[in-house]
Amino acid sequence: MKCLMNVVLYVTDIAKGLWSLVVGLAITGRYALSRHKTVRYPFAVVAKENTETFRGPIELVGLPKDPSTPKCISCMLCVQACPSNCISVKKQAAPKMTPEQQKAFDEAVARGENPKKPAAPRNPAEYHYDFTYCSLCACCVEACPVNSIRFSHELYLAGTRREDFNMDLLARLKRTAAKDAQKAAKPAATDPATTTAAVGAGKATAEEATA
Amino acid sequence: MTDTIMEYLAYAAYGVYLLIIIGGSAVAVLEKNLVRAFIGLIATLFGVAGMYLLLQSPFLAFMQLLIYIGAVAVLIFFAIMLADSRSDGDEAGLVFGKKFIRAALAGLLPILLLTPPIFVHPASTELLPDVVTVAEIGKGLMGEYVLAFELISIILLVAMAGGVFLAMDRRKK
Amino acid sequence: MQEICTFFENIPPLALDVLWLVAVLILVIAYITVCALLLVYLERKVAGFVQRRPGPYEVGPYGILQSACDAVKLVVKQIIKPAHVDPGLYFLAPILSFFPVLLLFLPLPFSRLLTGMNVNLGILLVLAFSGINVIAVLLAGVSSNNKFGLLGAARGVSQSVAYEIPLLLSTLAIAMMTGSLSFTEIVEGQGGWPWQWNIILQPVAFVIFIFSMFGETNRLPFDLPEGESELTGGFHTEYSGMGFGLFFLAEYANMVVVCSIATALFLGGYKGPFLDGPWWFLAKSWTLLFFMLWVRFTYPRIRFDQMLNLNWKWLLPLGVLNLLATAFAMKFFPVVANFFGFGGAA
Repeated sequence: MKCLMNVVLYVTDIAKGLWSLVVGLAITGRYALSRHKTVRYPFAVVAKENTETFRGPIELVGLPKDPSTPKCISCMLCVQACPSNCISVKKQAAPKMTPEQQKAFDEAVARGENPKKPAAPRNPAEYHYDFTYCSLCACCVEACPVNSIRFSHELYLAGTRREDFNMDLLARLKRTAAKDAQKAAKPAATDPATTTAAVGAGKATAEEATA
Repeated sequence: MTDTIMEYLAYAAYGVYLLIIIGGSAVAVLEKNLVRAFIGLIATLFGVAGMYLLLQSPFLAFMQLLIYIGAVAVLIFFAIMLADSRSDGDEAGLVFGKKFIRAALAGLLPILLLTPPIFVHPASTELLPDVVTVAEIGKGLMGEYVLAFELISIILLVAMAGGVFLAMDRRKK
Repeated sequence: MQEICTFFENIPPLALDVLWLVAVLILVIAYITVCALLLVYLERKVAGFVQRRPGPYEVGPYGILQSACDAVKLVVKQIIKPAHVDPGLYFLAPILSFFPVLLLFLPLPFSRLLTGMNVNLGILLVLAFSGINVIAVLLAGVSSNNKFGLLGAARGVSQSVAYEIPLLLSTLAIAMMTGSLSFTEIVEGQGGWPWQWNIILQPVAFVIFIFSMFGETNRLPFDLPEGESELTGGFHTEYSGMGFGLFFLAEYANMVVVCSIATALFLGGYKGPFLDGPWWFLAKSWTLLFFMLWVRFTYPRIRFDQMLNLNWKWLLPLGVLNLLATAFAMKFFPVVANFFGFGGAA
């Protein structure tokens, strides 16, 4: 009796195994007939909601009132935090005093007061970022005390030269601010990133990287 | 006219097969590199298959290819691959002395055994070979020559059992 | 029409035979090339669709010219001979793998009249010359002075020798049933409708044939001699350009051959419900080819011991049992039928 049971179990096991082959074929067959999941890149790009979680090269965040100047206070914390030294920041020099200011300053010193020199503007003079070294570790983003650094969502970054990825983030911020302003002026225009017909998407990003 | 052409072609084919057989066996015997010697052996087997074709027995020719080249030769080659088959290996050099004499004797033995019966009872030769169909071969094997056929299968069975026995014995150790 | 007939009558029959053979070989080479190009394209398309991507689509409409471009690339590529290989054997291997395949196409019955050579022993011819492919794999592996090549060759041998036996047993069952080794006669023994095909009478033999078909052609899930993930390329690791190209062509040609044989043996060959002809043969064999591609992108490569176990412990006993059952059925079915007074035609 037990022997018979074993035989039955054996045969059903084989039948199950063979049936699993058919199931596998059915699954791949169904997939073959379903819609493709890939996007033909040069002719179409991925929808914007899919790129929002993408960590592209870092970018600067503008001031709410003046989006073309960064929130950055040139504190150099990001430069120190970067493990691969790909950020270089240059502070702005203090503005030279006009002759009248100089005169007032000198007089104040002569009077024994302790006058203040005009302070240098806080935002940086230059902000260079070498994407070729960047490992996208987010140390700079975490280190920034004023939340002036964030990851961009640039998926289709391309360049023909090494220098294309040595980015001037200040220029970039100015460009995006100008673009946003333009967009705000023409609210009717559709957002190019959400439409799938952005043929020149790759080209545009490459240009941005070059600039 | 066509018949004479066919006859010449047959002679030419015979010559070619003969050359393949002799050349192949020479390579198989004389070549130091085992893999090349093996190719010589395969060429010989091919030539023999061609001879069978010339004798109007395609069944034998295809069986020669299927069994000797497709199975036996491949297994021999398997052994070669597992062995040290470099041309400067231990047993690569030419053989002289006692070994040579023994090998020559072993090679001549079949000839010495087979030629007397052939000379005593010469087979009647015909100008054109008989065409023997597969069905006739099968009937022959199962009818007239059934004893020889079954003896061969017993030998094969014994060989197989021996192989299994040896393998089992080694596995126990 | 009359003139053409007299023209052909004036040629001596020998020359006609030679001409016929040359024409057939040219046609076979053309068919192999077209098949290989189409199969490569189909393979990549099937791979794409199964993985929910489009596959090649840039070169030509729907990427149809992709495989032609690949072929051109393969032809113009430099042939590199690695260091310390045996040059004679190294270059003999791809030639030995491709040229016997031409012979395999000769006895295939594309239609009642459209066969290269109507040999009485068609099945035997195909089986005999397909064995040479193993030797080519071996030579390639051994002569290319590469451990991956050697391992691939070793696998190729044990696999091919093993899977040839169930293949033989399953074809033997059909040959026994039909009483002939000629493809044309076997096809003639079947009818046009699916229930008149041999697959109905010999389903076990068909399953065994399908399994061994994958084993013999080294296709996934049994492509262990190549095994990209562990052996880089297996026996053809060291081949570049057309050396590799010939192995590639031989593999696809072998696929076409086994599918054609399966069509002739089990699926009624060139016979269809209406209008018998080569189109039925092509349709059936290409359906099987498509099935092979589909299988390739469905199952993972199985382990080597599993593959040999499947062969020696399953397919071989099953094949022998099937053969025995066929013999018994052929011997006793007419007796039983006569006894009960039905049929009797068998």
